[in-house]
Amino acid sequence: MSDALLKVEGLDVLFTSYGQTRQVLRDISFTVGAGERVALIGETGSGKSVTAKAILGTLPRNATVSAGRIEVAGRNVLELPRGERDALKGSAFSLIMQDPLSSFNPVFKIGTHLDDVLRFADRREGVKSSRAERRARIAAVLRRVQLADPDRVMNAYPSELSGGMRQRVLIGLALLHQPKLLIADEPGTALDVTTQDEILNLINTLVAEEGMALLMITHNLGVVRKVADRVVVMRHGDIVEAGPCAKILASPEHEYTIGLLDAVPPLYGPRVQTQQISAQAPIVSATGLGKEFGRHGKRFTAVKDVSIALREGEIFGLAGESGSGKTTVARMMMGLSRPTSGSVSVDGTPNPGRPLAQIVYQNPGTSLNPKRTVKQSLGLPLKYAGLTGGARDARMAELMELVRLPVSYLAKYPHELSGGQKQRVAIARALAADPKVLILDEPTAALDVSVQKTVIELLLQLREELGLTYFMISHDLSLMRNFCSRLAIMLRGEIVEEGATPEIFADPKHPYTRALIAAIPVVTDDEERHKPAVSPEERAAFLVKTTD
Amino acid sequence: MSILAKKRGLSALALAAVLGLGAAPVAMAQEKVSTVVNTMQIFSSLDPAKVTDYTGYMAVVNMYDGLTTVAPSGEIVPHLATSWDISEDGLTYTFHLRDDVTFQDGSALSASDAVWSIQRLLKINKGPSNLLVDLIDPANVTAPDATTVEIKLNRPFSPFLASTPILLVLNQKLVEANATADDTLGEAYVGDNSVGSGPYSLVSYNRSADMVIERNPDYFLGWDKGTPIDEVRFVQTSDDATVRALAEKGELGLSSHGLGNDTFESIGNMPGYKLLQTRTAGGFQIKLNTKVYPTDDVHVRRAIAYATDYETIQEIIYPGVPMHGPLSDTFETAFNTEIPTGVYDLEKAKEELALSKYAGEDITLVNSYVASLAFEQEVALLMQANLAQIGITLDIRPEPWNRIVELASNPDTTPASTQVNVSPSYPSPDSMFFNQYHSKASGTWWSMEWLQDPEIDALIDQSRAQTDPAEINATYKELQQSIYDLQPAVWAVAPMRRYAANACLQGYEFRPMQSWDLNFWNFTWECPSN
Amino acid sequence: MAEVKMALDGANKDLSASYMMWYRFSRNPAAVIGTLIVLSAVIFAILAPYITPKPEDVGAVVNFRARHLPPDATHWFGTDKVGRDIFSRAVFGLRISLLLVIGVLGISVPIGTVLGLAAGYFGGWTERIITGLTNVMLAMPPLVMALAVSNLLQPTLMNAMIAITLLWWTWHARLIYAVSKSVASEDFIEAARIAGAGPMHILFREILPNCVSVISVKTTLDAAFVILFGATLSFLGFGVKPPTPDLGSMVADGRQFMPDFWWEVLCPGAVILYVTLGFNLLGDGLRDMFDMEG
Repeated sequence: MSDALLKVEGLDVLFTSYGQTRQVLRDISFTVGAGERVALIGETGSGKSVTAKAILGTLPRNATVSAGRIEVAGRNVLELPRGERDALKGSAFSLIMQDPLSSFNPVFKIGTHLDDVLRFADRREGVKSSRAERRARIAAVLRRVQLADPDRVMNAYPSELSGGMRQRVLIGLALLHQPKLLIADEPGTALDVTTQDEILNLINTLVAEEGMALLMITHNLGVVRKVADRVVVMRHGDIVEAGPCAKILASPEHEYTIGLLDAVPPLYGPRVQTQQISAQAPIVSATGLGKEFGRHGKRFTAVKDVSIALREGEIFGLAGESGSGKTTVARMMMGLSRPTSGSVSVDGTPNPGRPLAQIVYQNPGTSLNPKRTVKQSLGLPLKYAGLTGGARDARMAELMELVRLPVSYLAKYPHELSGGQKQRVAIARALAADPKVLILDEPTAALDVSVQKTVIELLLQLREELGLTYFMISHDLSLMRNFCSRLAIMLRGEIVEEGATPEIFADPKHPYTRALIAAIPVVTDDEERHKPAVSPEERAAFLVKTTD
Repeated sequence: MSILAKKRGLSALALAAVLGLGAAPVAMAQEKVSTVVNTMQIFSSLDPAKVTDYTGYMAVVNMYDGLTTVAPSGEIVPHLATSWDISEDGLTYTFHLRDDVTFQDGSALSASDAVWSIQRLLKINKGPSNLLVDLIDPANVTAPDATTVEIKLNRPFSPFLASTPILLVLNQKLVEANATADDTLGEAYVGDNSVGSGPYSLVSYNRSADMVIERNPDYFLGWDKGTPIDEVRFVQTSDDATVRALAEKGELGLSSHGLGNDTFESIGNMPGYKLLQTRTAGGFQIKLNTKVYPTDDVHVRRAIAYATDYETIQEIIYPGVPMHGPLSDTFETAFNTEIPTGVYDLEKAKEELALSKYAGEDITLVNSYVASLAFEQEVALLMQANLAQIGITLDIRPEPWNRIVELASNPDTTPASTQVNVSPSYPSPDSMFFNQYHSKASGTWWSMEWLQDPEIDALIDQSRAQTDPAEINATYKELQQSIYDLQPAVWAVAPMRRYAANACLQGYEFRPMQSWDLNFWNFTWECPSN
Repeated sequence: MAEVKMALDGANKDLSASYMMWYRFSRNPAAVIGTLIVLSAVIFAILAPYITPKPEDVGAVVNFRARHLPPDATHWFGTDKVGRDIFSRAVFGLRISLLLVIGVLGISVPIGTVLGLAAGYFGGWTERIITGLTNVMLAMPPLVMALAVSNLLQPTLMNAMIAITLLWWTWHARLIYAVSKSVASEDFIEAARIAGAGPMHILFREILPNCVSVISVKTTLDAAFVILFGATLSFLGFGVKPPTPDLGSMVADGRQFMPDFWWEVLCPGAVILYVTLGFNLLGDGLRDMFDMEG
């Protein structure tokens, strides 16, 4: 394949830190042909981002390429002098940035930012360009990313655009120099699922129309199916499997790929769990909850008239995109935030006592104090539960066993644990107070798919062993379908649909629910076919605008 | 060697010429002679009725004229007054003034101006007047005619004549024109202006920083001594390095006499500079407050005197000659030769201490000095080291001069020991006795001993009432012995007064009265040929 | 970059945190030099009576016959205007400087830390009052404040440093406030609150450990500043009582003899430079060690 646009061959990368050298990429070889769409997929630490950085020439200083070549359009970029290598950026290949907000300087207008980028690129290539001419080129590019009113976008500050629009601008940025290869590092990951879906559609359209090649870095198998012709699966710095997308997703050969696919909760087909819902009076009930925030004299309604009855033993899911108010509802249910209107009662008594409900946060990286050991973190709720000395140590051991962690981990600090282990510690801490209800705030969102699966399984086992009730908030509908017994969908502070999970998925009534389900990236064509249909009008009515 | 030296002198001259320095020895007569004079303290007032310190007198002696003035010998000689008569009873003094004196604004100086000025001095009752307030009733100062001033004393007072140089005459009309209803004596105006007949008039005055005066070409004594100094720029700094820098640039005309020993030496050694050195009638003392712990015990005071290393002070720290008690031997006829010089003897110091009421205690002695005076810090450290050996801890407290003046106003705030330099304010032993030791003069930095001893008061009063010089001197000798016995101070050294001066500055002569030696009319600017 | 950093951290999971900190520290030559300087200064200060050639020159001792001697084998830094050994006095002067550091920072750092923690965590009126106070205090130039306070009381180094202490806490309060405020919004603080922890526990057990690195870096850098500040004040005449040696006063006393007796200024000056440089290098080293930004 000498006509390959990008050819990586036997790439070895070493990282040196603290006097130790570790190989983070081993013998990485793959190619991206003209017009081809290739996805590099892998979990945390797989080396997919290091690979992208090696190609872009943005490896950190303590990294060395010890072997291999990276050919772009037939030239080994590793041997090119810095200047020539930089010149390749933009024209030969171009990167779509990952984080739409932090990629812009908040004090510059979008137009200024884009003009700077173009001007620097022109100067690098020795091309003279006038301001008006550059503005015309920018407007053209913005139109290509389906921003129909480029002038308005250019005159806006980054904060005035929605996340989806910013992501479009970033894509436009990458297109400024008509690159032959687009490199996209987790595009849209930071966005809501519906917005992400549109962005992926846009990338697909652009690649098809311009005949560009695409190298997509992602951890999401659903994304892979949507945008890739070929897949390269990476793990711990090795390529474990590579091949056409359809084949890999349909009949993976390597056990890692198999496991990875298994871990993705199916959108259709048999559910993992069926739960008995108690017919008794609800353990926690919220009636007519409303919450307003005052800001600069303006009142903003975050939650409006939400009523939820949580029955003992059930797993209740509250789904919604960012800004829908689901976290606010959870905080009010916990008693962490006072409702502006309505009330929460627990077992019939208003205002819940803390021991009844505990919370597991989304990001174990921030929910555990980095300066305190596992033992100290667990010890705190036990101390306030009145346990001391031997009794406390025994309880700690018991908790560690409950979350399937060795007792020796008690002495560790959070940074010595993996993400999944940290989340287990966070769960153990929540359990320490012997709660009846656990509030799960996106408990797996920060974790890799395979880890996510084990945490979900742990939660299900714990529920059975301890008879817990879960209240889960999440944006991940496919996860909730497999986990929750009952589901409520929130949109702009209101619950738009509520019911038993299987029923909602079988027959989503509200168009927003349908749009949400339709946007979920899935791994099989079968699931894709089962998705409900959403008309463009319905989209426009309920989704955040991503175009102008 | 001599060739080398000559060469260096030449190149220094050349350099100075190239830099175009004002004070460079320029031979051209038509060129204005302007020079820089360094003062230790700021000019806190220019009012002749208010000045109290050496620096203040330096200003007024150049801007005003007194009825008399003082000769280098200490003799009172004619100035505005060409002669004077003293009545038989020693009460009435009649001064005959010149008729050719004009003020700096051109108006004629008349006896009435003198009368008004003396009355003003008495009314303001500050600074120089302490000697005269209860001696002269303002109504008894009269001008029978335009050139006669008559002063009638309340009682015979022998040192009165010696104080007449400070009876400086102000331009009455000018002051009154600038007086206000609440300030009928024009204190605000006189404090900032020169309203006299003196050899120099004020050009600019900035209380906290500097002052410039220029020659009064119509001065009644004329300018026939040689090339006069046309302009004097005073620069206040007690920073030796600054003064040295001024000298290095050739700008310095005359230093203050308060510089560190090393600074004098190093400026004196610079090409184009010389060292002026002279005896004075004053003394450097460590005043001991007789009203507070632990110096309220005469034995402690004597112990401190014995623990003073006179030789080191006199030879290294502050060069000068030994003192015999409170009075300088420059007052030849009044000086008591039987009083010994100070002796450094730690054994005797310990014996004295053992006799005191604080014997056996840990004694802490506060010692204050003018923070900016380098040599006084050295004296403090020397005293501290010596006193430590007899069991006295010296608590060293450098203070700004104005703070010391303030502390001196009350016996409780006056430090137990304070280093000061005292010179007679008028050329009479009485200046030293009365200002320092008489109860009526209490409360100034002169009298930080707070002696307030009736016997001493009586002797001073007695000397003042006597008219026969022999009798007066006998009383003075008795006074010296009485004061010496009380040891209210350590008379450490009669310092040589030293100035670092430009080699071109000629005519310096010591005069035993305040800053009368720095009347620039006496100076000329004649550069020595190399 | 986040991915790569994660990969890096993952790569070093088997290394202990203290090893990583030590590694970062030891690979920074400036930090190592800074540590050695500070250690040596501390050792010199502690052992001053035993290692100086003339410890008696620190007390009430003069030797006018040996004044202004240039540096030689007996007097490494020469002698001063009353004949005392400058080296011995400079080493003892270090003691004063280090005591000042301990005094000023020992008082102001805990005060600033506690107020900063409280302002950041409690918010509301506590925050408004403390940050308001901090802003007012920060608006006062420390040197002016020190001069004013010590003029009101007595012009001693002690009073001047009390004045500094009164101001110094504000820098720490402001710094800790910023850290505390951001830490207070972390989930683990809410988790602790849900677990039943009271404000004391949260302030001192949950938030404070997250401020330790910031505090230690700031304190170390401040140490250098306190020494300089103390020297400045004593240079201006707010010194310790003679004959106690103090580096700032030594420079001030020697100044009038420049340039002839240069060692009387340069030698104590060099000691000030030495120890402040040491603290600055150490502070930078600590910053690297804790891997802080900026």
